[in-house]
Amino acid sequence: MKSCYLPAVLLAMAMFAVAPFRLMGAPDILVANATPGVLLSYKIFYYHVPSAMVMFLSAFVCGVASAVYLFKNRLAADRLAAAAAELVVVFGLIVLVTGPIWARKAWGVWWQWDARLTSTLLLWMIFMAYLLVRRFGGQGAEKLSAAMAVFGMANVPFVYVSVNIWRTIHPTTQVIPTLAPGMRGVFWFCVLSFVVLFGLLLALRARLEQRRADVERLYLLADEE
Amino acid sequence: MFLRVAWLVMRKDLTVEVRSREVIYTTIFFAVACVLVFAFALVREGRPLEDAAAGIMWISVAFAGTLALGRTFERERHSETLRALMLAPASRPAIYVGKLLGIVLLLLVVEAVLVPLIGLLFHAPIASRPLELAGLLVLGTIGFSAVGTLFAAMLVRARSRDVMLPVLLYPITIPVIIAGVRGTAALFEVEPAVDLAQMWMALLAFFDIVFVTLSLWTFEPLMTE
Amino acid sequence: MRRSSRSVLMTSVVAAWLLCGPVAGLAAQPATPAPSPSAPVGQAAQNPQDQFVPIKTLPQSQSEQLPAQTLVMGAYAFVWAVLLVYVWTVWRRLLKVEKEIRALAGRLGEKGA
Repeated sequence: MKSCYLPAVLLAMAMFAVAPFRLMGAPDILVANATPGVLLSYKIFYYHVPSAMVMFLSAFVCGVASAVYLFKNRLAADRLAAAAAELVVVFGLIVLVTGPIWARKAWGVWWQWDARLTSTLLLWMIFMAYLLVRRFGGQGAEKLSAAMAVFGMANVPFVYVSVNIWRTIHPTTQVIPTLAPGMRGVFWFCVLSFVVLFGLLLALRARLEQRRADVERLYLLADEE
Repeated sequence: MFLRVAWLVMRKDLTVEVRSREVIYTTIFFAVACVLVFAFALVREGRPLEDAAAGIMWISVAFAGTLALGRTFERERHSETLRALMLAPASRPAIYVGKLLGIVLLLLVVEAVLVPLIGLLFHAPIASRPLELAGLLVLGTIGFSAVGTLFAAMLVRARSRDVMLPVLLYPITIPVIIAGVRGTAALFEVEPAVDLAQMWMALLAFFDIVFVTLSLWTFEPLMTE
Repeated sequence: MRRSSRSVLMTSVVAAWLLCGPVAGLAAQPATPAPSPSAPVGQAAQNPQDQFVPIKTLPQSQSEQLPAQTLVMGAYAFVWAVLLVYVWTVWRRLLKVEKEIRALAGRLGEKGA
């Protein structure tokens, strides 16, 4: 591991150690007649939303890297795309589980088939399909999965605006720009922590792909002799 | 030149199909069987659920379309004609458009059989707003076929292609199906909600533009191996 | 080779640290926050935080069955469990690949010699 990663790791460690204490200090959300349960459960917001933002970021990284691989044939881009796709699935899983846990308290139901939840689930499934194709597609699976990633990336803006176009039970995109001052600091701190974590995980996973490519190269060399 | 190539490819597909009629017969039969299975599954007190007509129609079109795509490209693979097409001095996007038009026509014929059947079995008012219904069906079929043609062409050389096509196709085209179902359901109501159906048609048109553009863009690098 | 194992080790140390932090934080927090005063409620009516639909329409007994603290801690624990499991799977795969590389490099080295 290159030594340039060390400051990032230390930063991530420090941020995450501080995060829960900042979370406790965040103001209670001001909802009329809310029970204490609802007031407490909203704190899931501080890792549900950053996970969703990282999921979208990862989908974009995967889509752009896949496009570069398709058009410029750069294998390094394909490796990065594979790493990013796995992270979309991981962070998507976090979003799709923490959301319903919060929803159980705030809305009274675990799941609703509204535009935002459905489109997020579909985005997650697109990148699950990416991983399946890579694993079981056989020859030429990398290009197929790259095409999936391009469509997945095109899906992200749709997921984002779906909550503004349709009247859904999920909060709109207006919430983040208009956060109360006490919440703003904590929220963006959590976002930064998750983004740093995402960068580290992406680098780690891309390294695995790189090593796998090295194995292939060594096998070819061994066969030649 | 572009249009001429597309027309020639489409004519070739249609000629082969008219002579053998293999795909059209089997697809129509499968679609009808699908409708019947769903109708029986959703029966209450001897009558199928009336609201289910729109959903059943689009599900049958999606399943039948997947089969038709698989069969059409299997035929190409069997006769090795896909390689001949790729070797031809024609622009790849034009070949894609030709194939797409062939599939769309095939599915429209299947829908022409399905829609009266749905009207008969579910007492759905298919004749109340025929233009809007036709518009929904055409736009939805184009959207579904655009992605389907791309992936089916790509999967021709892949392993486990039969199961991979639905795995790749459905997460991306489910929004098209949703829009189609909601638009059709709006038209099948006692008082057809025409402006709601038109809203869904506009969304379908948007999906069509995005999917066809992305497919045209990625078809060439995907088919170059 | 050892460098990549170290990188995996560091990331898992990060993850373990992260797990300790929030658990300590959540354990230390007060039982329930005080209800908000009436003045800011008027403000809340205009701002989008109103999107959070309160469950005042549900009977009180239902909301007591799933205590919020359990849910919040459960959600937090889930996040870290997923991340830790993921880091562990990447670590496992990396170790396997490194072993393969070592074996291949050894074989190539022998042939070359």
